[in-house]
Amino acid sequence: MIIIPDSVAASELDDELVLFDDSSGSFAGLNPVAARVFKLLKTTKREEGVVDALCEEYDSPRERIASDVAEFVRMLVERGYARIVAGRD
Amino acid sequence: MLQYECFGFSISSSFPLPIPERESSLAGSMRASDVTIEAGDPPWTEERLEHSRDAGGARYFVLDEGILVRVPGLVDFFVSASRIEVRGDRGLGGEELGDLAGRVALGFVLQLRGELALHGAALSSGGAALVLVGERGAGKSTATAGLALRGFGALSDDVVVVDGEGLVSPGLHRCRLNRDALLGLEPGLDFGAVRRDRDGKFVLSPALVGAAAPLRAIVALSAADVDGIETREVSGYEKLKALLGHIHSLECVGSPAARLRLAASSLRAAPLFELRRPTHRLALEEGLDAIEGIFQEVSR
Repeated sequence: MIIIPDSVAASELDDELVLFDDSSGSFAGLNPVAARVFKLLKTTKREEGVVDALCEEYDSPRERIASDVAEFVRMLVERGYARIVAGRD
Repeated sequence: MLQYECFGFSISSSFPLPIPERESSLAGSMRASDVTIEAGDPPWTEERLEHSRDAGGARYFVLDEGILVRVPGLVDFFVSASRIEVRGDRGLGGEELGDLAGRVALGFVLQLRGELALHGAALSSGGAALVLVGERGAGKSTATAGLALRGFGALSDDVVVVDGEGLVSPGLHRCRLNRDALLGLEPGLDFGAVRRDRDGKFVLSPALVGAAAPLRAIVALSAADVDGIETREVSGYEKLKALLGHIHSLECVGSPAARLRLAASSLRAAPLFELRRPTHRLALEEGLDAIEGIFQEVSR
């Protein structure tokens, strides 16, 4: 399960979503597509759920979407904007 | 006590601030002050000084109940959200203490009140506000004085407050310029007729003071290895990054991320333009033309 820590907040700014991490003081900008993925992650808490939703929205092969989402999640975790925890959905 | 209206707050002060006093009225006299400035005994100790942090030449130390601020050799302050206690060194007059309280300590009050304070200058024209930010020496005060000469109303110099609705209120609007900047603005000026402050800077009072106005644009000034004036608009994450060094004492109160979030929210409606001028020349008239052009464009 993917968790967005309580210390991470997001604000819309211009065409982007900007993430702020109160614990580290860092911030990062997400383009509209990445912002959509982040919002889906917050609600579904699962990579699979995000991939399902995006497959309905975009005309791209599922494998390609799954690979992009996995890469994005890896980057979020690496920078502290998300955590992967064991547990049921 | 002297009464002022500054950054949208009512201020009572034992020391004269560098702005006109609020006109007295029955309603005004009954209004409680948001901030009081008076003599006191800021509790600095050697240990606190040793662990204090730098903020543009001043030192500050954060306590649970407020912030200690020291301008070395001149004055100590103890700042809370509603009060500034002042202890000046001998030989410092009331006017200088008031000036320092306004320029140095008031910014910390604004932080403690949860306001977004920027290091910069603000002007207004046609019912809209323009904010200039930039590193020391980038030409903020010179550009502010130049735009004031072109008919802009001055709102604030040094510290600018943008509220949650994106409104910029008049603050401390005197410009402080060095000799070269002043010469660039007004060749042939009689320097003897212009007041100088303790730092040797020339102090200019604007001809026109603007009223509170919604923020229409932000211009970030810098000097770079370019031949002429260059401008470009930045947005989103890049916009916040461009503002990062210009948020007043970002790490002083609360988390920096929370302050950035406040900046993102308050400045959402205002586009930000980076303006680079050549390092080897001020290019003042070209720069002022570019800023005016930006302001006219976004005001359409």
